[in-house]
Amino acid sequence: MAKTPFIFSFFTKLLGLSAFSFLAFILIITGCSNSDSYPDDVVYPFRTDLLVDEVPKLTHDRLPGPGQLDKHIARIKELGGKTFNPRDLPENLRTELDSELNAIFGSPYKPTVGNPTLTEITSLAKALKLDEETLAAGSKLYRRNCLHCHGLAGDGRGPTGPWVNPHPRDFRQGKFKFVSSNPSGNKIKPRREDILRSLKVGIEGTSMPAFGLLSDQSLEQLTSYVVHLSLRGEVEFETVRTLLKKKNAVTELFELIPDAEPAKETIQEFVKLYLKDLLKAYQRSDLKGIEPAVYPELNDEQLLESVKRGYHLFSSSASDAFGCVSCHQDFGRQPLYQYDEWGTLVRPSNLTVSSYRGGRRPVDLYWRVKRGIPPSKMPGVTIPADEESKKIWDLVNFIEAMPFPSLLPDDVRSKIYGQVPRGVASLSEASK
Amino acid sequence: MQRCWSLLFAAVNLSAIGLFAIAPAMGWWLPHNIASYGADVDRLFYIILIATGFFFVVTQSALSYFMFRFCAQEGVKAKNIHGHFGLELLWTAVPFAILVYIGFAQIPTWAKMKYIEIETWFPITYNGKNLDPDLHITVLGRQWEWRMRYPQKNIPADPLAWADLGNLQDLHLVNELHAWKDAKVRIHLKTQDVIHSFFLPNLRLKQDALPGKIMPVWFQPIEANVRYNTNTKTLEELNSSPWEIACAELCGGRHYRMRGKLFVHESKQDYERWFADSILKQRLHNSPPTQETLAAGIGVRQ
Repeated sequence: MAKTPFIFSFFTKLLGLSAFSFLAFILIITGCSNSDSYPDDVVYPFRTDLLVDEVPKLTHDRLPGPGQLDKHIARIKELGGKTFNPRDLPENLRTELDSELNAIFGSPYKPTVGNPTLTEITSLAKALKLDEETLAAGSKLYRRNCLHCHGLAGDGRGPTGPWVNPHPRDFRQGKFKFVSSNPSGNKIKPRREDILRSLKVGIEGTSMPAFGLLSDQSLEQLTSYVVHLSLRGEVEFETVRTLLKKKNAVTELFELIPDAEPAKETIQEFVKLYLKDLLKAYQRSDLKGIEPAVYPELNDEQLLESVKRGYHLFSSSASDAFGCVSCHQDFGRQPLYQYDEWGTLVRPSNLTVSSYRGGRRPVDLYWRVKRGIPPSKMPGVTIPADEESKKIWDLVNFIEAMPFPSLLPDDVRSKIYGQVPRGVASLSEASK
Repeated sequence: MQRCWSLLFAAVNLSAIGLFAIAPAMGWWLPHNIASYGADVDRLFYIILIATGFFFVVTQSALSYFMFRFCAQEGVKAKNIHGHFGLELLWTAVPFAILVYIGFAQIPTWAKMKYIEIETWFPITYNGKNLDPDLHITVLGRQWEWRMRYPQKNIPADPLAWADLGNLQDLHLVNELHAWKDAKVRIHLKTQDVIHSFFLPNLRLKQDALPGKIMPVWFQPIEANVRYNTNTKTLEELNSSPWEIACAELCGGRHYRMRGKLFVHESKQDYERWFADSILKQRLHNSPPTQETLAAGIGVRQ
């Protein structure tokens, strides 16, 4: 009887060995890395993608395909917009700015706003809950929950970022869409509770999920970290943009902060003063929200009248109306894509569907109407203060009723839904 | 040398059986049952577990023994075997009988899970009735969360139309399923994108959500885990381990994120108190309170 050929026993051994090493590998990768914080050698990358300075005044009837964001932004120039490439920045200015940003904002492992030598900035930051401890906790939570879409530096270009529509928010311009603050001065920043709301209930109709099951403390920490990223990004964005626009003249930077008194005209000095300015803007915004006048209690008949007036405000182009329908064409059912300030295409909301990105509380809708959504070119309404609340509540009542045909007056309903309304079923429900 | 392989197989089998023995003690067993029909589901599970467990032990022990006993040996020639009629009849007839038994035994349980009230006389079920539920909820799965919608006054006038379109006065919540103890809850399950599976381990409930369809699901919790405190306006949990909602169908990269919580209130009154406060928060017509915010400094809410 011949012995088992060597080759067979060799293969069985190899098989056993590889099975064992596979198991060991699985154990090692799952069992040993238990820390949520970033590795300590990771730094915030200096911006390399195009800065959108001006967008073309064009409308599109469809979106670019998935994964096309950067290609699409690269085309903005030839379509009549204006973009800058941060790579055009001279090497010395770039290093100077980068090292100053790192000195102030730290790294993902140890995020900071300010540093021990900048007492004023540090204390301002502390008042805004941007202290080291909160930011470190926020960074861990961000890595676990947000990084996948929003990216390391908050650029909205995480691994899944390009594949979702609408694109995840790029925090690096310090701009936010759903804002309820009403500060003095022209820098309008979100209040903490605006960001908290988006985290807590998500943004309906987008890929942003709700994180309501995280603890309140965790949400606060995440909010702080988002503000940290947007501060860092905005300082970087404004500095690079102004330098490229003004042919790399550092002195021109200081025109962005006319009130400040710089000790010397360097990038380092500008970054500090500009950051201080931003922090104060956040502080002002946080303190003062848009306060609607008390909502009048309406009975059914009065509510129908209010909805009717709201319809007029929405769809008429008369001087006493808002004319929302010029953008929200066919009450938002016909998408008309326009550029927002990030260079992405967005469309006015379809208001016949009961889904509101900025929140569905009546007060959220009030804030949207009053403040507008500035980064996506939706204007806020400007009307005399004495009739402001009344008119906006009429419009809000109409917007809220629009998706539900049974809540609309007959003539308004036929104008929105035609003679045979969608959702006949809910009509019969009301008549029961 | 070749015999060592049989030892490896024996060791794997032994550890599998050992795992059975220690699992309940380690808490790796069925989650706590709170469904009215949960005991029936568990009983079926144990019947199947006993049948499969018994044959697992028998066949695997035989396998290991045969590997050891009849392993290739020097000087022994392998024999050709041509089957055994009696044995083959046996191992066809026994599984057949077991499958037929399971087939009948599951009927009443299945019926209980699908109908709110049913009379059974094993193995026949009759008189299946979809009684009026106490609470309707619409659950919309999407990548990657569950969005719940609750009607005002628990029962909408036309439930199916409501499930489709909803009302302005509905309460919208994400990943939070609320009901009360002993409520007959009717879920209208929908999905916005791909197939999800709505899984409530404690309620022994699992149902796929299919795009374009509204799937009917119902359950009745027989235990409460939460009480609403009207003074602090918070939910007080009555036991430490949360009852979870999960997605049981791989639905994309962040499938594991579709995790929610089930809150069963002590009583209908308790649920309604919670609902009244929640809907008030959602129908907010003025800015959230800011007086305290101003007093306490910046960014502190409530």
